[in-house]
Amino acid sequence: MPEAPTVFVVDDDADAGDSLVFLFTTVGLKARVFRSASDFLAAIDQHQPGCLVSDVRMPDMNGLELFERLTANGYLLPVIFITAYADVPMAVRALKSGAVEFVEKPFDAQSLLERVRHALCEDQRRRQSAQHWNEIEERLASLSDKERETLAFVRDGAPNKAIATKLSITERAVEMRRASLMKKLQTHSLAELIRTITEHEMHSEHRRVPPVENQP
Amino acid sequence: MNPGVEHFEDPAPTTLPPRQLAIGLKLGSWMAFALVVGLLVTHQLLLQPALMRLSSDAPVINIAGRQRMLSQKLAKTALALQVALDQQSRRERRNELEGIVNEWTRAHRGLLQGDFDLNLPGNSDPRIQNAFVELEPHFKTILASVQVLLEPIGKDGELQEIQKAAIQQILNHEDEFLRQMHALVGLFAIDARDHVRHLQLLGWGIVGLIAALLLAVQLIIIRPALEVVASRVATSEYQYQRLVESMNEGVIVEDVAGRIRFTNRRVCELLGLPSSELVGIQTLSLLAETDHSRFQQIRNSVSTPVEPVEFAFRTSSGMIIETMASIQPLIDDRGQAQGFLLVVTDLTARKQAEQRSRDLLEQLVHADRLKSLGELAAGMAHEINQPLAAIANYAEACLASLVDPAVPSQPLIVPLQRILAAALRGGEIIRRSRRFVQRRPHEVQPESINDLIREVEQLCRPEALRLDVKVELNLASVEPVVPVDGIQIQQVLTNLIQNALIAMESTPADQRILKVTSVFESDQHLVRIQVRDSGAGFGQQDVERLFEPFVTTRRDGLGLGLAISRNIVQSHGGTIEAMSNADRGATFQFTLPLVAQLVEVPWSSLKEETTHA
Repeated sequence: MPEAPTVFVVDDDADAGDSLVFLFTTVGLKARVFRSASDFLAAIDQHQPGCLVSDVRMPDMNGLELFERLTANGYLLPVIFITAYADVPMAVRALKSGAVEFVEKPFDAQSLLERVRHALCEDQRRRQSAQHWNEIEERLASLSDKERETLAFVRDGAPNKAIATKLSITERAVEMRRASLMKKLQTHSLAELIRTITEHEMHSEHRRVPPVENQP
Repeated sequence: MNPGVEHFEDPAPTTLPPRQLAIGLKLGSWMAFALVVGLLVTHQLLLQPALMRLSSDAPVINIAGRQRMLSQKLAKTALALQVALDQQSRRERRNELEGIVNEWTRAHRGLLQGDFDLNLPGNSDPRIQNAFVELEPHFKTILASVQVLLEPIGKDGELQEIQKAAIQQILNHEDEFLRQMHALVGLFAIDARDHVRHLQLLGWGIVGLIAALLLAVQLIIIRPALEVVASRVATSEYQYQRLVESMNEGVIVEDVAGRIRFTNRRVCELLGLPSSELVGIQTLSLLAETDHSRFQQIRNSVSTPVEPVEFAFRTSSGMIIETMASIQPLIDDRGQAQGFLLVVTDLTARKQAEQRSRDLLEQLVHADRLKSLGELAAGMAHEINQPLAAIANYAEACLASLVDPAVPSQPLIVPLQRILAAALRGGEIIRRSRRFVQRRPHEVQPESINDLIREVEQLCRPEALRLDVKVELNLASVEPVVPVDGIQIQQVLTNLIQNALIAMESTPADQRILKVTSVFESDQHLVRIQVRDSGAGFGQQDVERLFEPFVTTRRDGLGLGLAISRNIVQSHGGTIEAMSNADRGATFQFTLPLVAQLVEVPWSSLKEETTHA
C-alpha cells in the first residue's frame, strides 16, 4: 500500500504556514510546509497522495502558477487555495483550472479541516479510480492484435458468425479469441465485458486520452 | 489731533513757490537793512550841524559877557591914564589900554561876523543884528576915543585937551554900551536856548521818522516774512506729525534716562495705552520680562544705529506682542546724547501668518500620509490577517487537543507561545502604521537610512505583492546615518514607492520590478536614494512639472504627493529629481546631506498656483 496521505502547505508567511501544519498535525493528519511554490515542486513526486493547501499571493511564483505547473506535469493533487482578497478574476481562473476549493481569509479552521479531509478522500478516490483504469488499460494492452480486432466487433454486438465471415476465419476461431480476451480482461460474461469496455472508453473520452484502438 | 493746524491741510494755491519765496524774503530783509542804515545816516546828518552850533553857544555868551567887563576896564584904564603922575605909568596905562581895546574890538567884530580863532560863529539873528546896529555908535565912539588916547601925547607927557575930552567921551558912552551889551548877552542866551529847543525838536522829529520807517519795515517786510516762516514751520511740523502718526511702525522717543518723551498713535494701539499714560514711564517696563536685560544691553552699547532686533512687548492686557525694534541714539548739534529713538514694527501678523503657513503645511503633509496609508490599507489588512489566521489555527488546534477525545492531548506551550508571537506581530503592524500617520512635531534625529527604507518596504510589501510587483532592495553597505525627520523621509519613500507600484499596472506581471537603492556618496557628503520602476515612464511629460502641486497622471490622485515630497526633501537641504530610464520606466532620486541643513521651505509653489488660479 502507498504511504499515508500528506497535507502539503505552501505559504510564504511562516506564521500562517506553521500554524496550519500544527493544526493538521494536531488532528492527526500528516502535514508538511513549504515556504515557496518552487520549494514544493522540487520536493514532491507524483505518487505521493495527499492534498495541497496554498496561499495565492506569494512572491516569485503565485498559487495559480503553481497549480498550472502541477496540472501540466500531470499531478492529481486536489488543491485548496487560501486568499486574503475577494479577488473575483483570480477565483474564476482558479475554478476554471479545476481547483477543488477556494477559501477566503479569515477562515474558520473547522471548515478548512473539513475541506482538507474531503480533499484527501477525493484524492484517495481519484487515485483508486486511476489505479482501476490503469489496470484495465494494462489488460487491454496485453491483448493481441487479433483479439483487439475481435473485441471491436464484439463491442458493436456482432454475432460470432458475422465476425467469422468478416475476418475470414472459422467461427471456432472467433470463439477461441473471445474466450482468450475475456480471460485477459478478467471479465466473466459478455455483459460485464461490454460494460468495462464502454466505461473505459467514456473515461478515456473524458480524460481526452487517445482511444484504446490507436494505442500500439 | 491738533485742530489748530487744520487749515494747513490745503495750503493756499496763491502761495509763491519756495524758491521765489526765499528770494522775496531775502530781498525784503536787505531792503529793511538798507532803510534802517539810511535812517541812521540821515539822523546823523541832521543832528551833527545842530550839535556843532550848540557847542559854539557857550563861547559866544562868554565873550559877550566879557565885552561888558572889557568896556568897564576900558573906562577904568582911561581914568587911570588921566590921573597918572608920571610918564612911566602913563605909558603903562596906554599899553594896557591898547591891549584891552584890541581884544574888545576883535570880540565885538567876531560876535557879529564870526571869528574862527575865538570859536565864534557870528550871528544872523535879526534881533541881535538890530541890537548891534543900536550898539554900533557907542562902540564906534568909544573906539575912536580910545584911539585918540593912544595918539602920541605931548613932550611933557601931559594929556592934551582933546585927549581929556576923549576920556570924557569914553566915560559918557560906557554906561550906555554896558547896558546894551548886557541886553545883547541876554539875547545871546535866548538864542542859545532857541538852539537847544530846535535841537530837541529835531531830535524828536528824527526819532518819529525812524519809528515810522521801522513800523513800515515791520508791516511790509518783517511781519509777512515771519508769517510765511511760521506757516512753513507749522506745515512742516504738521506734515511730520501726520507722517509719524500715520506710520504703521510705532515710534518711541525716550530721554537719556530711558523715560518716554513721545509715542505715536501706533504705539498706543499696540500697547493699548493712551499716550498720556506712556509719557514719563520707562520703555523697559513695557517690555516682556525675558527681554529686559537684552534691551538694556543693546541700548547701553548703541552709539550708532544698529540692525533692528526682535523684542517682545507686553500690552496693558498682559498679551505678548512680538516686534522688530530699531534703536538709535538721538544726538543734538553739540554732540550731546539726548536719548533714543525706537522704531517698533509689529510682527504679530507676520508671525501668525508664518505659523498658519507652517500649520497648513504640516496638515497637508499629514493628510498625505493618511492618504498613503489609505492606499496601503488593503495590503495592510492582508498583513494583519496573517498573524490573525495563525492565531486562529493555533487556537483551533489547542481546542481540538483539549476537547476532542479523538485527538491525543499534547503540551500546549508551543502553540501558546506561537499565538503570543503572532499577536505581537499583528500589534507591531498596527503600531507601525499608526506611527506613520501620527500627528507629531517635526523631530530631527540621526536615523539609519537603510532602516527607514526597510521599514517602508515592509509597509508597502503587501501592496507590492497584491500588484504582483517584485521589490528589490539594494542598500548601501556602509550604513548611512543622517539627521532627518524619519517619518517625513519615510513619507517621501512611501510616496515614491506607491507611485512606482501604480506606474507598473500596465507592465506584464513578470516584468514588474521595483528597485530601491541607497548610495553613500562620501565625497559629496550625502546619501542618494533611488526608487526605480519598470512602469510606463514619463513619455512626453514634462518631468519638472511633476513636482508641482495638482499635477498628476493618476485618475484618483490629488497631485500633492510629489510636491510634498519635494518640500520635505528641500527642507532637509536635499534635492529631488525624476528621470526616464533608458530601457523602461522611471527613476526618482533624492539626496540628503550627511550634516543637518534644515531650512524652512515655504509652500511657495502652492501659493503661486493658487494665485495664478
